[in-house]
Amino acid sequence: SPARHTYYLTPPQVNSILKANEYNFKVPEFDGKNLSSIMGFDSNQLPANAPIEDRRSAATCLQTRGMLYGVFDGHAGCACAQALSERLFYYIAVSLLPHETLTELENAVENGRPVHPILQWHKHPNDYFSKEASQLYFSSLRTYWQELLDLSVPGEQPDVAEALVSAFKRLDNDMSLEAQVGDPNAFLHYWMLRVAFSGATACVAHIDGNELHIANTGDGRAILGVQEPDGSFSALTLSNDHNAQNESEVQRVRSEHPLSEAKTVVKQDRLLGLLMPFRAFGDVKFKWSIELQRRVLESGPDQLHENEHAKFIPPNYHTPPYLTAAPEVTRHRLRPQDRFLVLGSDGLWETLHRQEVVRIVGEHLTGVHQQQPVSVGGFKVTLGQMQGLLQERKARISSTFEDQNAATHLIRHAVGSNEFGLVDHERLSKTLSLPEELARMYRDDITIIIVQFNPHVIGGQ
Amino acid sequence: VRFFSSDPPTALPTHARVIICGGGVVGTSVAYHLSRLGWREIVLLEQGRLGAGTTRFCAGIVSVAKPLSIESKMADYSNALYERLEEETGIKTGFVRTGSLCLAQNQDRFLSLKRLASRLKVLGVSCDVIKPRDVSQLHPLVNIHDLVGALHLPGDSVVSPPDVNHALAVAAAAHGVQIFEHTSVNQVLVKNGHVTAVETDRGSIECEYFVNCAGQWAYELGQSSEVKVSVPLHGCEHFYLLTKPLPEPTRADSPVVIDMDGRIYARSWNGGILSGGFEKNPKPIFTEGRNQLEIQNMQEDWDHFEPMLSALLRRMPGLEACEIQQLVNCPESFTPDMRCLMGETPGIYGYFVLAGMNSSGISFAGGAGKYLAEWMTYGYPSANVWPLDIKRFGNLQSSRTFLRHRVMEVMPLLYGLKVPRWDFQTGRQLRTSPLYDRLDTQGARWMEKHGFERAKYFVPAGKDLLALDQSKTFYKPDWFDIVGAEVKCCKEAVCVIDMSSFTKFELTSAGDQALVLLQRLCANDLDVPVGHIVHTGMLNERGGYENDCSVVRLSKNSFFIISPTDQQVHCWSWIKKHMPNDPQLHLEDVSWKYTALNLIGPRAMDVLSELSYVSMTPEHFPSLFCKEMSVGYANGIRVMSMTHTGEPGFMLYIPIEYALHVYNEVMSVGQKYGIRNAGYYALRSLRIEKFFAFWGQDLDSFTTPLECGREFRVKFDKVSFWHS
Repeated sequence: SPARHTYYLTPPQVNSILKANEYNFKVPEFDGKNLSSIMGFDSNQLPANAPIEDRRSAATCLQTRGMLYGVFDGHAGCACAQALSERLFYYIAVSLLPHETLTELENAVENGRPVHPILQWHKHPNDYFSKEASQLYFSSLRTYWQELLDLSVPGEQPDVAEALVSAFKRLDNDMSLEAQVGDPNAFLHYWMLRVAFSGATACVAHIDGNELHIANTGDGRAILGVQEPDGSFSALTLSNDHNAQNESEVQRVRSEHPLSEAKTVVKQDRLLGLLMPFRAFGDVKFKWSIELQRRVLESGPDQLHENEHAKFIPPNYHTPPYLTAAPEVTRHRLRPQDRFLVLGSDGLWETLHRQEVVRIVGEHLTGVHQQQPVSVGGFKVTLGQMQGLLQERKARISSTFEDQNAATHLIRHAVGSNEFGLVDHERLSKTLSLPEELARMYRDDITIIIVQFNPHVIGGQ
Repeated sequence: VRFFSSDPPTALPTHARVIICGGGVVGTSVAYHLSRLGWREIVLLEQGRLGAGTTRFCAGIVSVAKPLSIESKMADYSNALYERLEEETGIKTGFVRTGSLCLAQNQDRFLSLKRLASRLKVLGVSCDVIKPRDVSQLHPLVNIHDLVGALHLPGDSVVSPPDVNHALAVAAAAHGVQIFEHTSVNQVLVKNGHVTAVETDRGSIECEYFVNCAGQWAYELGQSSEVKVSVPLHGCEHFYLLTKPLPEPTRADSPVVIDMDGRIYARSWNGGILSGGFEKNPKPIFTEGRNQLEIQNMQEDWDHFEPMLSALLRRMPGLEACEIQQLVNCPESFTPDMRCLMGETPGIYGYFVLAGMNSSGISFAGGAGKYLAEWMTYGYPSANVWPLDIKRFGNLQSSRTFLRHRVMEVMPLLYGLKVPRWDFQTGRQLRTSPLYDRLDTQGARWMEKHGFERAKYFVPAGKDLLALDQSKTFYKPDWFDIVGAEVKCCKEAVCVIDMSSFTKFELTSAGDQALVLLQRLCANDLDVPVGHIVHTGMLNERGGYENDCSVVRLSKNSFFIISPTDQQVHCWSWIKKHMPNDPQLHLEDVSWKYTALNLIGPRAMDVLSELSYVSMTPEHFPSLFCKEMSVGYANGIRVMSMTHTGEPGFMLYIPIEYALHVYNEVMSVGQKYGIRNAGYYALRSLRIEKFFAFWGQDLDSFTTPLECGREFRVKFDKVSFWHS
């Protein structure tokens, strides 16, 4: 028989692929003490699409306390997710500013004085920001804070949940308007349209001391890793998926449209039979009226006419908008047993059960393995069988130590786990060496942020 | 024979000559040998059942392949003893003369086995260095593809340890030893430095001698006497595997396989295999004490055993389909230098210890029991056991943290490659000279003796030595030329060696008691003018060296005694043992009070004379004299015209607060004479050239001055005024 040549990636090659996008941030300590409720975070991404359509962001709010983390899962291109990753945290940070700080900010800009930075970003070198659009983004943001300034009252602290909802809605609205208005710069104009016609879900966490807020739009997910008294980890879900699997979300969508559309508005588990997430940024095809879509397309740059996706009008499109970017906000008061938060795009959650995710991360972060000790008991076990079992268990532990980054470790499991829940190098190597065009059929982009809490600070408050 | 005095409990005697605590194979061996040497009123106490500790579980391999000759001798004797025990007592001991195979997977290991073979031949133990294919002749299960050779020891054997234990107990009982099970020792009572009685949970027994053979419990037992006894040992878990019988059962007489490179041993067991090993990552246990039940309920840890299982299957691939019977966890006790602990404790007369077998308990028990019994009977055993003498340790090795860390290094070393001049890496930097940091920044590489850090040599700036592992070699080491340069500098210019680790005593008296005592203890004449230094040995009744020292007569009735570093406990107890109980006679350990700098070389006198404005020439300062003088700003430095190497030069005994000052002065003045730091390796090399013997290595308690050409240091016609 002809010799079969199987190409496998070597373990170092696998590692370099898995670690290409890993990022880690440790909250700085003062006098040897970390006084923040957050110890730091690990994040990573593994592309399936080329280029990857997921984005991630992490930043510290400098004018208020707290840190922001976000996972953005784009569809129909990466433009919308890219814009979210650059802009959403500014909208949130500004919404959280008290009246006095907003006044200061506006005065500084007005008088050409240097502005105190609002955010400190924690970015991987691959997490880029577009230079061309920054001016446009800034002017939209300024308009937003000017409105906030008018609406706010001195001495009043903004409510976090309200701020999150307001920021999400406002940014989606701004992206929609910017696409309608256009820009003299043709490149920018086309960029605005690409942002608006593509879509993205967002799963954002705001953590300030013991206060944790999750704002979720779409099918990303936030899970809390809770350590039980026996040392094991259990998962506490802090967000709801906005898709057809969520019955109340289906009810919501149906209730917003006439009964006549009941059968078409959710079809084949998709919005209008097309879109998986039931909430999203961008996706103006599901938000604008048909007239508006036609008008924008006609006046748009030439490239848009070649874009079949943008020109396509969804069927049964009677009572837009069908889609909203309004998030569902969950508030959670952190407890000492809450050890970490996992934000992940659906690429993670469709490969690993949330309980498994929490176990893997928990064991990685604590270095403790909840593996039951092996016992022969009364069974017939040969030395060879025992050796096989022990070596598998050893591989499981050593793969933990191979990854400094908990997110990388989780990706390794998501992509390479075999039926026993053990990382199988052969499987990992096969999956990662799939050509780009095939990769998308087997898995989705995976983006993960794991925030580790400081139980001493949380317990002490 | 019924000797279990537990049910119904018979009353304990009120008096005994010897009480042995511990009914394992070691304790019963001591009882057996004492009774054979004619001792009566021997009581053996066991807290549980006989052999319920490590003895019950251990693998039962008796092998003479041990790193020290004295250990091989003990194992050889044990082997012969166990063989005749069945005949003597009628009790089956499971003794089978299987022989053993020590395998070598690489040339270094093969070399170390050849070295072992030549040592064993001197002892008269038969052994053969063989080729891999001979191995498969002897043991068909062994995979020989990765072997370079092996050592075959046809005399080695296997036994059933509990049965040996039982047979020894029966034989001892037949000689009148009273054995009490389920009797715990609570406390050992001491009066005037002597053992007087033992308090048990069933009443007290008066006694003259007490023997601590408590194995895992020996440390705690040592702590529970009125004067605490330091028994430096610590437990580690030890695992071995038992298989069910093979389809074609293994022969009872197939040789024991010891694959040290694979860190495993394997013997035939009930038609299957018994195999264990000494892993790289041992699990220390019982750091915070223990109770007896724990040893019966140790957990198996398969994940921990995986490397050893893999090594076994690599060595014997045919076992893959063999079924598992059990993984046994049998804690063993280990000591800080992987040698057992034997002999009389320094602090309490009549308190003997035999423990810390480093998982060779069954190999050593017979011989060690014999030596200890001889020791108790005649004052010393019939062989030199200094490497095993408990007096090589002091209280400073008694910290539980130290022991825990050290045994984690010791246990893997049992099967590690034993190259010359290796140093322990754990439990370091305990005792240091005040100059430690200064020397360290100048490139010192350190070794440890009796807890004290000593510089081996100084790596010149810019020179990079190989990684530690690579410098472990049987061949020319990478530091050879560095030491060569230091030696050359000692011979041609001047070097400084920090010798602060030396043991230093001061003996003073109101009258002439100090002189009388030293005249009795030392072979040389100590009645010399004040300021003289005398090299002398302290000899035992046989004329052997108990100690090799330099004594300085500081004044008419005070002496400064300088001994080797590891003699701190032994020398102290030797002097104390022979010292009359006289309040006017006072012995003080001043080791920690002085930093000792050795200025070696022809230019040493130039350096010192610049610092003291005193002529240092031989006419003004002849050899073997001691003067108190100032060096730099520091006054009261004891300068002695001797070097411990035979080279010209001086020893400076400096009160520690002046150490840095004097060192700095010496180094800065010495610049123009080419002064440099030197280490102990240079010192050793110089000593060998001049035959300055090392106590413990070249001299021991069986060497007389006549045998080592030192009769000139013995005053045969000395007036012995200790009778007066």
